[in-house]
Amino acid sequence: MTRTTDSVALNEWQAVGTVEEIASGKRRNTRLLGQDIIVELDGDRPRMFETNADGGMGTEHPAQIHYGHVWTTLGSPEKPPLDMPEFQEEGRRLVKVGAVTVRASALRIVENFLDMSHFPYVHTGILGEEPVTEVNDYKIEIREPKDEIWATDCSFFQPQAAASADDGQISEYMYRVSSPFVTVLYKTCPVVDGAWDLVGIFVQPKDEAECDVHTFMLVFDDTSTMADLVHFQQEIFLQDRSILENQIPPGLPLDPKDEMAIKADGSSMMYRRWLRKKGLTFGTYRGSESSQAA
Amino acid sequence: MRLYDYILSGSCYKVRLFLSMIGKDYETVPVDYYPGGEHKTPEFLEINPLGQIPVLTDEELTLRDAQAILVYLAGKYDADRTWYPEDPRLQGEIAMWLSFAGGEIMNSSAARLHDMLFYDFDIDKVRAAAHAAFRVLDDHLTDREILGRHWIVGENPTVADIACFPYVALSGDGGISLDDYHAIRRWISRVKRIPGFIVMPGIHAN
Amino acid sequence: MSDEFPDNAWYAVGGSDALASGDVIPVHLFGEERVAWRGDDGQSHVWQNRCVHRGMRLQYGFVDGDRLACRYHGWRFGGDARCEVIPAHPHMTPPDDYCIPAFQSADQGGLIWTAAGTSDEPPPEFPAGGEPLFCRTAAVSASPAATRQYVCRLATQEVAPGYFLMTNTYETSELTLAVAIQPSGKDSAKLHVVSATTTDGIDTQALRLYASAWTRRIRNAIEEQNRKEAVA
Repeated sequence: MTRTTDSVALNEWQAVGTVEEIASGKRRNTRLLGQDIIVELDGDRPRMFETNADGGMGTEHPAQIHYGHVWTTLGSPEKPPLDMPEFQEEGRRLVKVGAVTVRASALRIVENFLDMSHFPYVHTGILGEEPVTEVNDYKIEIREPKDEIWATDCSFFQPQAAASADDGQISEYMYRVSSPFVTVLYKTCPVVDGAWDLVGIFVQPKDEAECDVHTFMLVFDDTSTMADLVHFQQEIFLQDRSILENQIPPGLPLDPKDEMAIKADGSSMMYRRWLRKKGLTFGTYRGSESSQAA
Repeated sequence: MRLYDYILSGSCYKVRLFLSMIGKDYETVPVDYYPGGEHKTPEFLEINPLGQIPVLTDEELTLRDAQAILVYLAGKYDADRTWYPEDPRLQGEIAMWLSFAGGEIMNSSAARLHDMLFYDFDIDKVRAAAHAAFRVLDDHLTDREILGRHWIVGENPTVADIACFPYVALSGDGGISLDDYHAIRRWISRVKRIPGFIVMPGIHAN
Repeated sequence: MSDEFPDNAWYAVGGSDALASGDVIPVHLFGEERVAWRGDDGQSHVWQNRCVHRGMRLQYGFVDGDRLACRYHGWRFGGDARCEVIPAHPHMTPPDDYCIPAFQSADQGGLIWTAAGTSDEPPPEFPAGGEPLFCRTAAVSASPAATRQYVCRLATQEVAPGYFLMTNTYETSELTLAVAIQPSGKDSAKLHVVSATTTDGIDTQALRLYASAWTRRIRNAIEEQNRKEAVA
């Protein structure tokens, strides 16, 4: 596998692991956009190097720590990683769910994260359940100047919305996509009125159809144990994984003619249009003539 | 009764699944297996010196090993004696398949841990070994169907079915397809129809 | 596709009895992915193994009455392969063109058949006298050509592309077997074995067990030969 030439993908900040995972050496040798890399912590300072043919450290690239994760890039990003001011709030718990490998395109993974209509079928009894399957209208827009996608006024009835939830509730959601590989959702916090709990994925695209997914939660929850919180999110993500690894083609089709959409797919349609406008090719489906990138 | 449990563990799921099918309540103690590695801490090694889950405690009894736990639960709580019958022939057959579940089938678990959670295994070797094990099970189930039997041993579902089920049904997680194993797929559908069946991530309800 | 396995022929993909109402199974034909399923109405179908919505493999779906539901978003497709219900919009009538590409398929002679390409003929009938008794399917890790070459040598007749008739001896009686080769992919094939019921008072279970053991031996022999040739 060789490094991609897709400069849109290369010029992004990518998370490659939690500080703990990098410090322990477990994620020392990994891959980003087809390029084998070495990631380590030199004291507090994260460092990333391309892996040479002999396995040694080659060209160094920028690396920084945000939100408990090490971020790096193979290119020259125009903007820093997303800003999440909620991380400054008192009483919040940061849950790092652990890196999971998925044989899927990063773009399919992000799109699945934005989707609500699968809740009753993939996360049955947790995030949704028949017969309450209708997806109500929601708003979707691109917010400038940061060029982020935001879906707001989303809602869905959920039998068990969070680790701390005792009963079913209508969850309100907002979804945010800050880069092709980074997305966060904001959902009704069952514990603190008026607050949002955050769940996000930093998708590390290793190859066009293989990623390591770094999931985090930032919640108000004083009763659940860390194991409970981690397991709640792992259960949901592993349910998605069995879907993601079975989507054909693996690459995300950007031409609307390739896959049939409905109104509930507003986020997905916006995401695909946005990717097409950026000119991203890594992880896209390029098999049909109509979807060849310009 | 207390079960030291991890939501993503197929071995723990064997016990969760069986407890649901026999309708027994229990307390769950979540173990932060990944990324926490809690099962290898000194505190957990006091509970199970092998540093593995599941572990079941029932009054003074502490049991490790999913297969052993299934045998105990069936013997203690299944009044009808169908899940682990008293007939020595059937017990012999069940023991054979319990060994298989904790042995050859665990190659599927290894592939899954490698593909999902970065465990270091020779992936080609474990996948090939899993396929070899699945072929043995598929051939067995094929001939059992010819005899009008629907379960691995005997006339009814037994702990052998529960022990073999999870890592066969989860094989896709480790890049092992069940497309070639027709009898296994029909058996999976039958297991899913047993009253009290519950899912885990990677296994669909029907 | 080849002269031996032409692209306008019928190929067996499983035993009819082995696909009960409510079952959904993956089918591979010339490396192409299909799905076979049977509704509660008893009708079998062979479609493309891919939902038109977000590309989810339909083999992981479930049967809901006479409809196949996709696992991802629960879209229901009727026997004519058209989408009938989209749960995210339960009051909407799905557009007419929201349908799954479907292939010709039929239950015939104890087997389920699908056509690669299109065929004006019906699928092959059971080539022996008496009622067909489906015995088993076995997957072979060898090319369809290598599989065919081995089976062909044992056969008395090729009834249709990849569909062979042969006679064995079971106890003291003559046993007729029909073996249908499914050309799954470059290095994979399946054998679907059907026997003729006899009127000799032979226990059909014993007969099917014998045929099953025979199939295992053939499968293992084809793979053994394949391995030897690979090393040579």
